[in-house]
Amino acid sequence: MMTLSLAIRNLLRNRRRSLATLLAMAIGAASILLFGGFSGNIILEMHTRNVQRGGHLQIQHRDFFLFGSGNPTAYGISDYNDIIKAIQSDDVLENLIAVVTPTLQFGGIAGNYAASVSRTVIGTGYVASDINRMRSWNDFGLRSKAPVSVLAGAPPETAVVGVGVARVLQMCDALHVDKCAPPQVKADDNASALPDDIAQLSLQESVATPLGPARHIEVLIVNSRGAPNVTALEVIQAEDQGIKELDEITLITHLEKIQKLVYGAAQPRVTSIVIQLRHSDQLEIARQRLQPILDRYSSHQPLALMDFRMLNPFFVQTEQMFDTIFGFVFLLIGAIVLFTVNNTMNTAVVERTVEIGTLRAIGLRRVGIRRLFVTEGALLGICGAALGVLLALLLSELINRLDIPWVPPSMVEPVPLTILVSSNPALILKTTLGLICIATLSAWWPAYRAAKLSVVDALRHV
Amino acid sequence: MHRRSFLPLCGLFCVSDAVLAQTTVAPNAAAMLAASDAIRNPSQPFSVTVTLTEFQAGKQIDTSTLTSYSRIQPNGQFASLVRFVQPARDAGKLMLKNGNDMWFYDPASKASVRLSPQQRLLGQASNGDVATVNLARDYTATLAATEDIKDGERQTRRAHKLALAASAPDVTYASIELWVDAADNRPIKARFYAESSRLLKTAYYRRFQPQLGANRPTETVIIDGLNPQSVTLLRLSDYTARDIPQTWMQRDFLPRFQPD
Repeated sequence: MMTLSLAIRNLLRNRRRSLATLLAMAIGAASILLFGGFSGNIILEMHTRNVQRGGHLQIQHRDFFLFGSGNPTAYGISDYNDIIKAIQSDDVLENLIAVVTPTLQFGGIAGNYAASVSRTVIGTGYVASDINRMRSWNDFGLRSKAPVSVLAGAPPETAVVGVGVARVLQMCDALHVDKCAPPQVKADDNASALPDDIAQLSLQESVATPLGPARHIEVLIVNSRGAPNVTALEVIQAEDQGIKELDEITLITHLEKIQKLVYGAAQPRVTSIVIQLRHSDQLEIARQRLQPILDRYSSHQPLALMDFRMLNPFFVQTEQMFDTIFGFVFLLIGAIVLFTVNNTMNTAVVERTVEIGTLRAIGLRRVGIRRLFVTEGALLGICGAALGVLLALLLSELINRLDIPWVPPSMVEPVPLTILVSSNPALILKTTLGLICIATLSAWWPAYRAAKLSVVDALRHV
Repeated sequence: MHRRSFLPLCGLFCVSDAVLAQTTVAPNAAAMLAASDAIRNPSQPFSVTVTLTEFQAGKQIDTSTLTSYSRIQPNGQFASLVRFVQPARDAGKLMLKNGNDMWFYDPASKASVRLSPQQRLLGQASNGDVATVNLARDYTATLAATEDIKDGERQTRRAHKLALAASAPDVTYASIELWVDAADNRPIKARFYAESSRLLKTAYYRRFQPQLGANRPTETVIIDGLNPQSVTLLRLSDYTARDIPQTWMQRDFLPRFQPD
């Protein structure tokens, strides 16, 4: 107790120096916390977006994730309706699950033959009403909202495409996509023309099949038996997917329509059953309950349960990247704090050499000297960290209220800049403890040097 | 058929007359189909020079020359080994179509790639199914109508319209409408449909010339059903009967192929 009160009084002896050190520590702590809050928010946004799009868990054919991109429809699940019924009738899962819905992924070619252009697309068929139910998930209370899909309630022959698809298929005007000038096609005047008699034949055929209005596309796919099949769809919206590569291949349409196209009269299948839970932390419980259901239906097709982290490696990589950057920032600021406190304590030791000599002369052990200085360092750490936390809370509150708009990576619309410090007690605790440890450690070496001083020389120090 | 011997029993077996009437029409449709197949392609192994010209919106955009070596496999279906001759950048490349498998081989890089049905949806690979295909094997024919149509040279001809339904599970086109000349079973026009009854391609067979023992169509005009502005002209010339061994029609043979 004596040590503590002595340490406090010693710190107060040179207020200016103590304050400067405290401030340096506080700014350091606040920086770490603000960055942690910023990256934490981005991670939560990406987490929310991934769960809105693809749910928490997906039941798929075991090989679909690794090999399905070459030929998605070959990895269909045949009795998906029974599996969904089994999931919905389980009493534990009933409380955990928000949405269960089947989806079918397929590859094909979308063409706008009025403009003679086509594009390979990777399409997904959804039960349209479930898309918006899934997009309303917002367990973390974020201020950004997912766009409402217009596919729900639209007739079955409709589709939504990515902005890139609309651009390549030259449907920008029809779909109100901006920043999209039609490409300058160099007219090759030297090319020889189609012979007239063949041109007549071609004209005959054109009359037979009139081309639809500007928003119609033909989607050509290979059905489950390897033969081409084609249907016409009306595109009702071009939706920005956030990532250019996704924009250029995405086609979203109704599940039944695509099933009929791919499987014809045969039994329809789906490529995955999407399960969205109410809360992300219940994922493991849900997984335990789902595994026996899967085993029951795995007799003739190997099924696997994939969680959204496995399905979205980009999300995991981003998480890891932010964690690494956070580690860097912490190390950097920790080094600065180390140096600052070290500097302060060293100066204090040099200044108080006579005092140390006196203390030793009147009987204080080396241990006592060390303890004294280390306590001073620790106190600086505690106060600095506390001040830093306060500063960070104030600043984050201020920034959040300013509603600065920005577009995070892989998001579509600007969202208000949010820094989550107050809702992240783990971050605050870790940072505080870390900085206190660093401050204490950095005071150790000067304390050691102080304790090693020879008493007689110290007393005589000028 | 001894119809006269059945006549006295007409009263008791009048149903047999109807049955007879049906059985005399149905083989007719199948026979017409088989005859038109025989006109389009020789039954013995042969090689032919194919000149492909692609037109888009009335302008020629591409032309290439290929040599095709075709034979009928033991299972009745055509297999073709195609060698690119023109343009010079493609010379020497090979394509093998054997049933539903299509392989592409580039001698410069010694790489062979299998084209999946997905990858054959567009481009000239999709026309391969129109050129050499043995319709009688994979489709059942019924006579839909007999009507006058304009053929590839815009002459009016009397034709039987055959409705072909896929009888094998792995054929490319779910149904085909084939017009054969009523007089000599020449194929005049064909329409290829997908399972959703959408028109995928229209083909006109023209310029019949004596080649390898019959008057064969030496020009095929293929008009894309989804994009009628896209027209491909297939010109066949220099039909030669030759011995093509079964071993040629394998992917492993492609690196060893030597044109003669």
